[in-house]
Amino acid sequence: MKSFQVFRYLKRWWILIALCSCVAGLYMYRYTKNNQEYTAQTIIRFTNSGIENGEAPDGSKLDVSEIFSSTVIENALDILGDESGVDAIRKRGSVTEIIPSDVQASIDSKIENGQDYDEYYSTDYLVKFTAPSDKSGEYAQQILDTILDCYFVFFGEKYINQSYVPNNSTNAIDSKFDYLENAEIINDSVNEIIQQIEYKVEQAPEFRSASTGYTFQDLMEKYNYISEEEIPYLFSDIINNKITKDKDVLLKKYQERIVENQQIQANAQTELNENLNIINSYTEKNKEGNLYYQDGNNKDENNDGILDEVYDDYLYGSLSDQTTSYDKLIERYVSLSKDDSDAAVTNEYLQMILTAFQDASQSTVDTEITAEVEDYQAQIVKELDSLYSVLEDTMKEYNEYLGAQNVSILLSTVISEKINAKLYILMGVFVFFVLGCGGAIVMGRAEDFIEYFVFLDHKFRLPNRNECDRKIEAYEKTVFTNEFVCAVFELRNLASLNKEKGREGGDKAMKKFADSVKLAMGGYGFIGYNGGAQIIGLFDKCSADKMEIGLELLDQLIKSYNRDNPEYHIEYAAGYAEAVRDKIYNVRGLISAAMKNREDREIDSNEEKDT
Amino acid sequence: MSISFKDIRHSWAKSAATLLNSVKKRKWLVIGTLIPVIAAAMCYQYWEAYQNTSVTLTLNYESAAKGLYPNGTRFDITKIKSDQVLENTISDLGMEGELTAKEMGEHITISAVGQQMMSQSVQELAQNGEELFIATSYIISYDKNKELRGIKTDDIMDVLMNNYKEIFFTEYTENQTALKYDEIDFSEKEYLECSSYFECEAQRIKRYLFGRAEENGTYQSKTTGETFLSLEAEVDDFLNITLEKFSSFVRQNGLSKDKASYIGKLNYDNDLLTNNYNLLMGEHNIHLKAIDLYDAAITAAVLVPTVDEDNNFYMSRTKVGIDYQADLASETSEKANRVKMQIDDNSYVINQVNTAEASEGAGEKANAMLEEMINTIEDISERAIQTDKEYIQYKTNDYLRVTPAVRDFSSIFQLRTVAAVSAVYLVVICAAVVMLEKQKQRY
Repeated sequence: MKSFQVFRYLKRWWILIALCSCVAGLYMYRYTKNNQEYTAQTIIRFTNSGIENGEAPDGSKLDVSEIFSSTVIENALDILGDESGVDAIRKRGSVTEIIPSDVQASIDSKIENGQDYDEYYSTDYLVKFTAPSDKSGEYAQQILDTILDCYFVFFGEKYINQSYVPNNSTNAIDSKFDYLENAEIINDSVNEIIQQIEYKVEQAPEFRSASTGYTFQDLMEKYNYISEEEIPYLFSDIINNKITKDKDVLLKKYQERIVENQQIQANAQTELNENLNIINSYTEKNKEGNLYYQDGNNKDENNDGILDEVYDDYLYGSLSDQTTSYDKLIERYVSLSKDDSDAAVTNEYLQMILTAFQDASQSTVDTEITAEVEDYQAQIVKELDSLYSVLEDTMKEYNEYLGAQNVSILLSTVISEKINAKLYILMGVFVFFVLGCGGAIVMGRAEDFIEYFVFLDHKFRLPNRNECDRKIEAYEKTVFTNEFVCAVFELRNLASLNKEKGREGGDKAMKKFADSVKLAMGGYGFIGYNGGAQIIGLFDKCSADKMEIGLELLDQLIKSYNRDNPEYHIEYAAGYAEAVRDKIYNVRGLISAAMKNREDREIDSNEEKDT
Repeated sequence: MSISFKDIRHSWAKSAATLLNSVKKRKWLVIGTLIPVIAAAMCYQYWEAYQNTSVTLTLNYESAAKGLYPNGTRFDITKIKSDQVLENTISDLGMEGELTAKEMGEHITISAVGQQMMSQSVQELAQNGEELFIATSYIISYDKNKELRGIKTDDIMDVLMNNYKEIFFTEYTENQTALKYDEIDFSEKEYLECSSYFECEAQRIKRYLFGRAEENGTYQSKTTGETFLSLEAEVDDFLNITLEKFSSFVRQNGLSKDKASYIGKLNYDNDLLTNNYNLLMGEHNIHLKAIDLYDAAITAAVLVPTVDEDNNFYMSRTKVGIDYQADLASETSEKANRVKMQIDDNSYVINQVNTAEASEGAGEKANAMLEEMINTIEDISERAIQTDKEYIQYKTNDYLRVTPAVRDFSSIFQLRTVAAVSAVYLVVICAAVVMLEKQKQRY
């Protein structure tokens, strides 16, 4: 059997091994590509007061899952123009609280010892978004960053700043309201906005918007200018020129308002009287009793009585409204009196309007003046629209600013991959390379065994008849246009040796003959035992000249053998055919020709000649 | 059967000798094809180098290290791939309709400098209190879209960065709009309304300058030679001298462009203000009445030792309802008095407009003064903007620094890649030569 040579096996199968490794690499590449998922993650920290108790800036319970709420995601997708859908994004996002390892260890230890522990409210949260496998890491980053941007605005709007007053003045354009009503709409809208900006000025005097360049104070002054210098013209023009679309309806409306106010006054007066009666009764009765809190039994010097309780409540934040019934009664009196007074003053104003329009004649209204008023009103509304858009931008940025001031970023968004693609590919290639090598060795060795047991003649250590047939079949379709030799060697005296020396003697001579053929022509190509006393050679690396040299060498070898073993001496015949020389281009033709060309070799006579 | 090292060495030596012999025989084929392969690889790398480009974007301002924009909102580097930036870039390149923002965005990659793909869990890092990293430098790479093949990649990157900068500066940095004098048409405005407008504009500019002066009172512009304090003083002069002079002149002469309309407006104002005054005074009287209602016998207060505003011991008393009512009465009275002053002022102006005899040429003079005021405030505004621009440059170095990637010989031709390709080719050609030789020997 052939010796165990690893390199021989690897050399034989190296293409297959390389191919398998490449395919494995490609497969792994495809696998990682199809299954790769990128996760964008960042850490945010809530810095608002009360967060240590799990509270948002407005004192409500902070719900961090709002980061991936539908509102926030929808805004983010709108900005990105992404149509993935809110749910598709939401299920891929997560918010995890980060508890410092020492705090966690302390909690674990208390739980282990059965002790109570204070609930820990984390200030830091890990926010993650994992993109689908068909999306890149950058997509994950873009989605997460935009979601966080939107969340910061959401946080500012929901927990810190309140939504802002809409610009109602646009309703005054092309409306069916009367001129005076439109002017009132514009005026009320401006006053409401001013009130709101006043609050912002107190809240954030230093804030200056980067997008508009204005502070709230700047904007308030702009609104004030319109309110003080421009809107009054609108009213004075309408009232002085008695401009109205429908005088009767307008007058009725104001008359009705006056009546309503008079009713308010009447009700307020009634209630006021009742309220005064209660106050008087309360005062009288309370004068009779002791209102002062005194703990007579406790004369301890350290006991400061009621004040201690107030201080304690104040310190521990449990102090609630303790306004007495007496004060509440007075407050109610003030409130009712104000209603009465306000209604009276408002009626004075309404009466002024009524008086102004009372003698107005619909037909006498100058259409030119009306057109001027309409134009002026449109101009104010346009100015207010433009100013409001500046205010909106400023407020939007302010909300973002508030969000960023209360939620800080601790880590820039990082991207991690689910599968280490390079490692997977390398592993695939390596594993298949190792498996391929192992397989090649096993297969090569198995082939050796098969060859040994099926295709080898064990007696003469030559490929047997089956192998010869296989070889011939393999060459069957080859047309030899180059040097190729088929040779036949035959041990002539095998039968006589068998007869004289027994089968063992014949086999010995045949073995020696086979060895000699192998030695002389083994380098030329395949040599096989063809059964009986015949050996054939299929030499793909041989020409007629080389063959002659080989035959001479064989003669020498046999002669030497015969000299040493005269009782088992060998007589043989040999013949060959060469494709180009004999113009036979197929294997079977060459074998037939070799058979025909076979002739006995005269070894002894050669020896004599040599001598 | 075992195989000895000697056998292996012999086998290798034999193979190597065969290989060398085969290659030697066909050395011209090997060399002759290797040179074009190297040349082709270098040409490809050269071409490739100009299909890709990258720049390093560095954030040069204080809040960048906290992950914020200069205006204090959250910094988001992916804005560079926003539709707004990319659409402007495509438009500037004159390629509208040829390419969408999304297509262009797919060719842009952003990576933070010093921040690799995280192998360790971010959560673990944070739990262990390890320092977390906020990037302030980013590498922006662009791989040219085929639709833009006629334009140099570096030029595309320049346009992209300019558009990003524009958005960055417009939306996230300090904006100088407040310094700009917002000019309006005064022809239809009454003189005193013009005065109010100027006051509004000047106060806005003053506020901006005051903020800057608080930040850096000593900074002096090289171009204008101004400091923020000196500019603020000029605005003060404008408000206190120029504007006052103009208002006084107008009021004394009772100047008005449209007397009837103006008086109508002032009268309406006064009607409203009177209404408001009556409301406030009504409220004031109610609070006074409420105080009278309180019975002293049941509104006792307790004295509490405390400290005053100078931190001296001071005996205070607990508040009772009367205190609140008194405070409110005082507050409404104060408001009512302010309204009263406005009413009086309006009445004075009405009276002046109605009765005062304007000096000759007063209108023209007022108009001239108005023109001069416009020029003055415009001049202050321009100098303030210039000074502020220089200050921002000085303070932040323009917030962003864009550094193009270095293009030297080895980076353009990617010599390592070329060497690797050549080596692979050499192996392949040698194997081919050996096989060819074997084939030749066989037949």
